[in-house]
Amino acid sequence: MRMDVLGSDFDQFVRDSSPGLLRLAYLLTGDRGHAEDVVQTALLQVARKWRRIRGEPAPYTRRAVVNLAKNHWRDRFRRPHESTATVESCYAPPEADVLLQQVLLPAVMDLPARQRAVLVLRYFQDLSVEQTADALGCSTGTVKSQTHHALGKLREALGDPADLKENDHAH
Amino acid sequence: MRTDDDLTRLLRRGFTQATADLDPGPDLVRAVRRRYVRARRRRLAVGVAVPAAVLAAGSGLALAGRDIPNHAPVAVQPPSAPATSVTPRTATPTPVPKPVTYTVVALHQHSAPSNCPANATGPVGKSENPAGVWFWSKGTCVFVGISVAATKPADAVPVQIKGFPGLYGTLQKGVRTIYAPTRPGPYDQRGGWIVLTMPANAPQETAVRMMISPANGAYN
Repeated sequence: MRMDVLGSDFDQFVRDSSPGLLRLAYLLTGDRGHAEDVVQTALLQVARKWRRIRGEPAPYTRRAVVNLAKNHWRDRFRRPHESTATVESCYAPPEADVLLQQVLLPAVMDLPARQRAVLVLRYFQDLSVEQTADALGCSTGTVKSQTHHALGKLREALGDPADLKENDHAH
Repeated sequence: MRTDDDLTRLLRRGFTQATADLDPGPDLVRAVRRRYVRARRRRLAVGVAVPAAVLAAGSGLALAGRDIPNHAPVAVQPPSAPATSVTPRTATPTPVPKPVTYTVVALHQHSAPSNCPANATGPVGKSENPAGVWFWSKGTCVFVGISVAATKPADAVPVQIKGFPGLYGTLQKGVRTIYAPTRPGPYDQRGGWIVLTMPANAPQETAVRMMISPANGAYN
């Protein structure tokens, strides 16, 4: 059982990438505990293939996080005792402004998993359409259409822009 | 109407705020490594244990109900494949195959029902005296006796049953006898040959599959 099969480059990769991965997982799952589980499991998957991964390990790891978060989301709907309200309250910290905390972020959580993932990957991770498609294992056309639908739903949820200005002034 | 730019700007701000205080613990590297080592150990253990378990299960074609008093008859499925075809992943391949030997399947706990009872409700049963197994085949009760011999008759000829190499048989006066090589063990201290005796018209392959099991040179 040689632990150095992974080498110090793996440790460095974990240290460098884990903050971003944790945030990604958190935005996808809406729960810090699950996000940490997802990141650990994703990194474990990467560790198993560390020596066989060609090129950058980051996209592979990101894909693993997205897939695991998707599984978590699917499982969540099979567990009726875990309420959405709990997840939503975890999702937005108290210091976030009211519009974001009470409207936008819950609306993001209400999106279908793939639409939410598209938004997070594109507007939080700043991935291109192609990179997002690669991470989600779908076509670029799907990414564009999912983005369009997701933004449409958020637009509906947010309502009149005047509300935003009022809230922005208020905070 | 809110533009896409407005929305994405809001989203970026919201995402940043929501994740501002998130930071993985300092032990993450250690935790991942620990899980990695544990997973490797488990995989290695499974790699050894599963083939061993398959071998053990395959070679122990036990008659269900052997521990039940009065030998309540229980249906027994013959193995679909010979146990010797399964090789542990960790085993070193050897160019010289071991000689095949056989064990008798679970006949060490008998009480004493009569063989081929008229009131049998199941398809299979065991008998102590004479030692053997009876089973129903096409409406007829077939009794297969079991004994041990030090040698096989010189006139015994090879019997071809798939997955059961090294068997010999004779057919004399309406009695078919199958000889299966065995090594000294709990059922047959002398080693030599397991002897299955059955009527000439009995389905010999069924009887063989039901009563002996390739032991791959060792008792389980």
